[in-house]
Amino acid sequence: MNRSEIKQKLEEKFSCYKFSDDPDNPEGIIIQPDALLDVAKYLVNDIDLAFNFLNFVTAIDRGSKFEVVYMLSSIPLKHRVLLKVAVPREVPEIESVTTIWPTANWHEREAYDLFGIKFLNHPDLRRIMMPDGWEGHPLRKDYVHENMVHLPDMG
Amino acid sequence: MGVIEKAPVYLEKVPGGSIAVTTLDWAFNSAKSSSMWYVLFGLACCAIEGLMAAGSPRFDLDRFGIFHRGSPRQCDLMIVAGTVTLKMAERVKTLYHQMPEPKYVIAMGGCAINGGPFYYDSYSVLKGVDKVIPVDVYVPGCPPRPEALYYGIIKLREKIMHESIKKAPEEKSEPLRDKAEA
Ligand code: SF4
Repeated sequence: MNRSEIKQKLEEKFSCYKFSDDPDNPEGIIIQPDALLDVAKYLVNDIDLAFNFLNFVTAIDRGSKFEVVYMLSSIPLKHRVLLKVAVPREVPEIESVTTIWPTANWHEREAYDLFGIKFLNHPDLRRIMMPDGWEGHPLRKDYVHENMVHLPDMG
Repeated sequence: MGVIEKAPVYLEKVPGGSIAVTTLDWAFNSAKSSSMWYVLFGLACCAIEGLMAAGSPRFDLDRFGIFHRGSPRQCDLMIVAGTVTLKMAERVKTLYHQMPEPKYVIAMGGCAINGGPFYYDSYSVLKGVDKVIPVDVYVPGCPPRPEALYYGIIKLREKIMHESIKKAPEEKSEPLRDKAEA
């Protein structure tokens, strides 16, 4: 199944939610934050979709908002899809998908560590890369740290 | 410069060839410098490109009497090869303190010397392992060739040969500057 068929199937199933194309990625489907768990359960359990493998969870800093990205693959059916969920910068919160794909555990901890996105109902939301007690979330675009010496302009 | 090469030279001078007269310093220093066992401190690409290649049969670190050990408690030499992050710096310090005296440190590669390619715009990399432990020899390169590491080891041996038991080496265990905890 290709991306547009998957999107069509989702639109038929969830008429209450909005699904849109991703301008940055031809593979991507943008979904609403409150639709995430319903859509995820459907993607795993539907026999024509069967997305039983979560490649990764990560995030992108877009300034006013964060995009949380889920790359999904179906091992039996050999197709894949990229889901994106936009969360506001002021309240970066999203439901955890660890109950559906246990892989998400450490990936969500990484996104929490580096972007500060709070995954609700995550079993163990701690920092995974930075030392405990580190302040701030380093991959945010506005992050500053005393260690960061700026590269001088060589031009 | 090892005992094997020097011993016949000294022994020949003595009738019978079985008594050698030398200084205690020379004997101790030869023993210290001739079989340094190093703790494998591979942290990034330097460990693979330089350190592991140096230990491979093609380059053969064993001919210097140098073997790697898994435990710092059996080691005299720590070769810090790779990028030391702030989180790792605490472990480097702990392992250094676990080594028995006398102990020596080689900082291998730009990263271990001053942060290397991560000097600019990096929040997580320690700018030089000498900020947490004292370093005896710096081997520059990104990564250094195994020959460069050998040159560093030979330099370290020369340094050891100039030590004296009369003058106890100043207490080296305390870190010079401690930025990792900041
Ligand atoms: S100095 Fe270069 S080769 Fe060595 S660890 Fe750093 S980046 Fe890698």
